[in-house]
Formats: sequence, structure tokens, C-alpha cells
Amino acid sequence: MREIYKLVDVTYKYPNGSIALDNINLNIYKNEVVAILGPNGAGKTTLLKILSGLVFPNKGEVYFEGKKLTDEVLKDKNLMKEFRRKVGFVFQNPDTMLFNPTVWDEVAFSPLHLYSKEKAIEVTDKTLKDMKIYHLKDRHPYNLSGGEKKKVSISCILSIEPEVILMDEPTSALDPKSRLEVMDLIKSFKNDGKTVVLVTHDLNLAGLADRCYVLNKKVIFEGKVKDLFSLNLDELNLDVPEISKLFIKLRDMGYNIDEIPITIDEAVNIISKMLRK
Amino acid sequence: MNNKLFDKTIEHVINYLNESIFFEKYSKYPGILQNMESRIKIITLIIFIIGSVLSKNILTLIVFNLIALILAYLSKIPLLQYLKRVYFFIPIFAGIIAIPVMFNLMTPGKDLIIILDSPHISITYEGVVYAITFTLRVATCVSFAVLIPITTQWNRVTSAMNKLGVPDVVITITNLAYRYIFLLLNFVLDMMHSRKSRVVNKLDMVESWKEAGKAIGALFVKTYEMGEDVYYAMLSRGYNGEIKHIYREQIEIKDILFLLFSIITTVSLVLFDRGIL
Ligand SMILES: Nc1ncnc2c1ncn2[C@@H]1O[C@H](COP(=O)(O)OP(=O)(O)OP(=O)(O)O)[C@@H](O)[C@H]1O
Ligand SMILES: [Mg+2]
Repeated sequence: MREIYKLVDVTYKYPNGSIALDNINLNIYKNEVVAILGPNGAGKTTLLKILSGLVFPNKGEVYFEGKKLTDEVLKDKNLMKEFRRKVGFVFQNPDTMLFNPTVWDEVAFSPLHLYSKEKAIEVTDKTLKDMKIYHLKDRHPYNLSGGEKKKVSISCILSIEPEVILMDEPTSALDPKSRLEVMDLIKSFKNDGKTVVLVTHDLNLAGLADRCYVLNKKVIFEGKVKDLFSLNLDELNLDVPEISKLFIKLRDMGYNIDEIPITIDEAVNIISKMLRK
Repeated sequence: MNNKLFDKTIEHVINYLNESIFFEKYSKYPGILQNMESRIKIITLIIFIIGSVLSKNILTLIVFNLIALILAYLSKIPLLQYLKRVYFFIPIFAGIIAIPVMFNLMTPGKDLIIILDSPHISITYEGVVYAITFTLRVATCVSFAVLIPITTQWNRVTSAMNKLGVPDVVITITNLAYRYIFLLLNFVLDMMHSRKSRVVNKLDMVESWKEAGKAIGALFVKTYEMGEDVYYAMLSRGYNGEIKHIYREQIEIKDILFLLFSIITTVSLVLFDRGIL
């Protein structure tokens, strides 16, 4: 497996002195979906800013595709373009990403900076159609609904077909249908060979991930999402699905349960297996 | 002052500003200005504005004002709405300056209304004429100026500005300012609504001013934080100091003819105004 990111002893302190990340070590491999979980203020957003080369650690090193990522490297115009083309970052608050006069201009922003004009026009139209928001193309991005804004902000980075997609709480503020759409989108990224790092509180969404890290300034857990259930979940302050809670409760009551489901489908499978026995 | 009235007024002003600045309904109507190439349109309207600034006669200014009205009419903008927009801005610019000019202290001349005998303070005939001319001139300039945003999509305005050689920095700042005005207006509105929904008893004057102070403080912090994130979002999408534009409009014969018409009209009107013609 090819290594995309490698973080060694990364510490980050904001200028006002608050420590956001403390001695983080982590690896992210190609074509993986990795979930970053953790309570508010755990440093998740800060970690994504570091992965996208927007801020740099005070201590420790960040490697991207084996090469060290520093301020100097990104000052080089060509290396910067190459890196920005490969890594797309969907911000937590879509309002911060939307600063162009129309949705079309918004989605065209990255391609215009990274490709030729003809190619930029082509990929912008294609992305808008793929994301089913072509009808919004002449609207102001400002007065769209929350879900529409989120879709536009995702389209903004898809228009350059990045290899690595960083998403900060992609399903917050979405209704159930849009949430499912985003989850399908993440599955399709995985099928297309992309690498996805997603920050979330939502275990349903984290269920898509191959691996997860739980963060609270430090890395406090690393492994499969399913293995989370052997930890004390109350302390982690996560959004545990009701169906998982039910199984955990049964397990704690002494029933013989070796797998905790996250989705209803998984639960149905487990229960029907049990009933058949 | 009744607090409820105060709240209502702010709400109206904000909604009104929102409507007048960000409402793009008329930019899609099939009118004469909407069909014109954006660069030519901006230049023509600026020529008319310069003509109005150079005019000293009330009659010339009325003719200029009529031209603006005819253009608005041919662009299918409801005249009542148009006048409302124009006269919303007039008092802000002209009123404050025009009032003192009417007095003999600023413009000596024939007394019209005597206010005090000693020291002698009065409103003079010359002063009133000057104030009317001044206000009319501002009104005429604003009438032409508002035609630009009313009949042009904002992205076309900025790319036309770019084509006309306006520096990138200026365009970026205008764009961000345009966007911020919208965000901040709505932020204030949200804040007012949330306060209203939480406050049970009525606030007295002093308290309500304190509240307003806090709101403005929060606004500044919010602006600062958002500004940083907006900048990061631009960086992560490949921005490196220059804004790329796509320009798809082409100058046609009718645009040239309109430009010539506006130059000839303006020059003749100004010459007439100066008594040369
Ligand atoms: N611009 C900043 N200046 C100073 N401190 C900051 C700044 N941004 C974040 N912090 C602090 O750094 C810590 C980590 O913040 P971060 O935004 O990374 O958390 P998060 O895990 O994304 O939280 P959330 O789930 O609320 O989004 C917090 O304690 C926060 O107060
Ligand atoms: Mg965050």
C-alpha cells in the first residue's frame, strides 16, 4: 500500500497559546477512507489544515507522498499547483468557501487557477451536471439553502478531480436524503481509487471508513471503527446510533454478542442469524 | 423611542439593502442595457456620469436625469422601484452636504427666509439654487450608477472591470466586500432574531444600546475569524494572488453605435450647459 500521508510527532499551537495538537503520529494510505473522530475542540479541523498544507506544525514533520511538506516547498509555484491539484479540502462551514459571484464561478475557481481556460470551462460544466446542481449555476452562492451550499462546496473541489479529499463534517446541516447522497458520494470516491479523510461526530458516516483515529489533542485510539465499541464510548462523546446502543446494552447485560452493528441492515443480519440458530 | 419600532426599522433597512444590492431579477430581463456588452455599458454609463458632474444648469441635469429614466424604462425596470432605489441613496450622499449650503454663511446672496437678525442668519436664494443643483447632480449620477448593478450580473461586472484594466487587487477587494456585506447583513439579522426569541422582558434604552454594542463586537470577531478561513479556503483551491477570469462577451455594431450616441449626447449637453452651443 502506497503511503499518502505520514505525520511524525506533530504538535501545533495557535498563536494565542492554545495547544490544538500534541504529538500526533499517523499514516494514511492510498485509496483508504479514514475517519477522524473526537469531541469539539479536539483539533480535528486543525489536523485537516495541516494535511492540506495551510498551516505547518510547530514541532514534528508532515510527509506527503514521501516528500516533506513545508512552507518553502509550497512557495514554489509548480509544486504548489501540483499539491493543490491533488488535495481538495471541503471546509466545515460552506460559507467560507463561497466567495464568488455565482455558483458557476465558484466551481470554476480552482480549475481556472490550475488548468487552461478551455479545460476549466469543460470540467466546471461536467462537475455541475454530475452533482445535479447545474440548474443553480447562475445563482448567488450566498442565498442557497444549507444543503445546496454544502453540495456546491463539495463540487468546488471535485472540479479538479483531486486524488485526496479532506472533508470537515460533510454531513452536518444536511437532511437525511442529502446525508445519504453524501455517503454515496464518499463510497464512489473509494471506488474511483481516491483517498478520503473525513472528520465527523456521526458514527453512521464513520461506518464507511476503513480505519479511524480518535483524537483529543492526542491520538487516543487507532483502528477499525467496529473496535471502538470495546472502549468507553461515553468518554469519547460520540454520536452513537440507537441501534448500536441497544446491542451494547444487551452485551453489558451479559448476552452473548460479539458484533455491534452500526446500521439497521447490519442489525437485521445479526438478529436473523441469531433467530435461525 | 419605542424599542420595537427600532428593531423593526433595522430589519426593514437590512431587508431593503439585501433586496436592492443582491436582487438580480432585472439583470435577466430582455432590455436594452441587459443586451449590451458589459464593458461598453459600463463605459457609457460612466460617460453620462462625467457629463452630469460637469453640468451646472438645472435644465441640463434634468435632461440627463431623463436619459437615465428612459434607459431604465427601455431596460424594463419598473420605474417606481427604480426611483425608490435611487432616492434611497440620495439623502446619504447629498442631504448632509446640501443643507448647510443653503445658509448665507456658506452662500451669500438674496435672503429668502431670515432665521436670526443679529447675527444675521438666513437661507439665501443662491444657496437654495445651489443645494437643488447639487442634489440633482448627485441624483443624476446615482441614477446612472445604479443601472450597472441592476442590469448586469455581478460576475460580469467584475470580469468587465478586469478587461478594462482594473487591477486584480481592487477587484478581489470589491468582490469580497460585496460578499461580506451580504454575510454580515444576514448575520446581524440572525443575531437580532435570536436575541428577540430569547429575550422575555422588554429592554430599556440603555440596555438595548448595550446589547447593540455586544452584537457589533461579536460581528468584528466573526468577521476576523471568517476572513482567515476564507483566505485559507482560497489558498487550498489554488489561489496565488491573481484572480482568473473568463470573458465570453463580444462587442457588436449596436454597442459601438450606442457608445457613439452617448458620447455625442453628453458632449452636446455639456457644451450647451456651458453656453458654447
Ligand atoms: N484560529 C484559532 N486561534 C486560536 N485558537 C484556535 C483557533 N482555531 C482553533 N483554536 C483552538 O484549537 C483547538 C482545536 O480546534 P479545532 O478547530 O481544530 O477543533 P475541532 O476538533 O475541529 O472542533 P469542532 O468539532 O468543534 O469543529 C480548540 O481548543 C480551539 O479553541
Ligand atoms: Mg472543526
